[in-house]
Amino acid sequence: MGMASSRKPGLVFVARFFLALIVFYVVAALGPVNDHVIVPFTELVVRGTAFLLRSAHQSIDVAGTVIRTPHFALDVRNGCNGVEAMMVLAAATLAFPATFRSRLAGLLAGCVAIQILNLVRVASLVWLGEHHRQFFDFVHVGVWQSIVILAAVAMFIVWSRTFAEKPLATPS
Amino acid sequence: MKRTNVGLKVILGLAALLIGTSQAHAAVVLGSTVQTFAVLGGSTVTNTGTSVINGNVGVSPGPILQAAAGFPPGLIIGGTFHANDATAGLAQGELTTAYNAVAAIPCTVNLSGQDLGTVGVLTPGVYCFTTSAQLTGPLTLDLQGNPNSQFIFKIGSTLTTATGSSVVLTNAGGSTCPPNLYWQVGSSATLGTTTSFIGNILALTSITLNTSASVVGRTLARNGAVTLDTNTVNMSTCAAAVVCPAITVSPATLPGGTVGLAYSQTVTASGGSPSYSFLVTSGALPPGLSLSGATASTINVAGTPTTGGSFSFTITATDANGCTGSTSYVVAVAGPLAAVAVGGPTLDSYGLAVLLMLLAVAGVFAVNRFNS
Repeated sequence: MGMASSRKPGLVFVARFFLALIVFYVVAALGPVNDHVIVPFTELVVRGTAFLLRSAHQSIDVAGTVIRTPHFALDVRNGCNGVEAMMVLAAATLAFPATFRSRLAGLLAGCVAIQILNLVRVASLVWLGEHHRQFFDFVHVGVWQSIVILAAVAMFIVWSRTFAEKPLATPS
Repeated sequence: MKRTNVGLKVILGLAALLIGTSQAHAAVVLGSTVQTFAVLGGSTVTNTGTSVINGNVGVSPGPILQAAAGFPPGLIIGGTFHANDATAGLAQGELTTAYNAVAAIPCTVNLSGQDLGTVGVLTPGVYCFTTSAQLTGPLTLDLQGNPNSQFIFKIGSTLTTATGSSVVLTNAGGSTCPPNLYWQVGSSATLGTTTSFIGNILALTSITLNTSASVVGRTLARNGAVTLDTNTVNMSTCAAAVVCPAITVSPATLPGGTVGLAYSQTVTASGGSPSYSFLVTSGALPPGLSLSGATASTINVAGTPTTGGSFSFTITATDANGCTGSTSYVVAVAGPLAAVAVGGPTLDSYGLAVLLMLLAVAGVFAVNRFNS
């Protein structure tokens, strides 16, 4: 009985986590949200990547969602925008039993961090495609995916241990 | 009140700027009537000796009776004497228009105080003298192979040439009388004995050709007399006189292309007299692209690139008067479409499952720790 009650907050977290995730996926799948939020956001990712590459003096040309270098081109599509990773991290943060304020702060910080990481990811992939094409697939599928997963989990753990605030106890 | 004055000044300044800009780019063309005149005076045209004038001679608005003094012995070939008739009046009107248009063109080089015989070889440009200009000896104009090259000399007061002076053309593209060579004189022009001169003299007041001076071009005076003395004035070899305006070829840059993907961009010429012809005058278009679909003022750079790389070329537009403008482009052509990689998702389904599992587990532990 004691063991079951000690597991209860964990189960509540898991239930909230998946519930939040389902809500996020449903909202993101709505046509208007996709057209007016996700697609423009993806274009923003393309422009951000282009800015990063130009800052690094890489010669590029942007046409729609395609980033071209002299010998390579990368089509940045919807899934490449880091939104999914952002939603998973946001769901975990919101499901955590911390105060609303610290959840909101964690959610915002997590989303920004994931997006910065994703911009660096896309920019590095374009650079690799141009200069070291042979490593492109390995880094694309293996390295960056692992980095994003580990970074998201690490961010969540650090936030929950360091920054998450307990709600005030309700007087009995 | 102060604010109103400042605002007014700003508005007037902008207006002046706009007016100045439009004048600077206006095409200056000698009208079709005045083009037929080798000699045109405002008050009189008088001749001594056996001058030979090839082209029309005219006076307007001078008195009819004094107008034709000296013809003969002066000889007019390829034209007639228009003594204050409608043709001469029309020519004077066109001369005024051309004079004002040339006067409005901004200077590129100020030669004030220098003798034209000492300035060396001049290339196309707008040369100005604040007051008077003097030519002693030869002046060489380098047309750089383009007979339509524009030389404008704007002189504040008088133009004088010393005995035996000359204007010499080099790299003139076969032209002996370039259509865009103008001498705009603020008061009077006097060509010294045996001077050999080239160009269209547009003088506000008078023009005097001393003994045996010759002009390949036109001597056109707005208000005063043209005085001749055993001279040759020949405009028969002069092409239609045009001062070329600034012709713009736009856009300033062209986007890149991709091997195997259709490419089409429109290039437009403006500022001159349609219709325009377009040519690639240096470099080369990317392989697979060509100039096509020309209209009066546009052409397409179109086709399907076949080779990747960076390609530099210049497109030159030539208007109906032979005036040119050009823009240089660099077009980057990316490799073939097969090289376009589709960016994979930030997380594929496997990665997503791993992240969900790790976060769920981490969350359970974190919640338990949080609540303990």
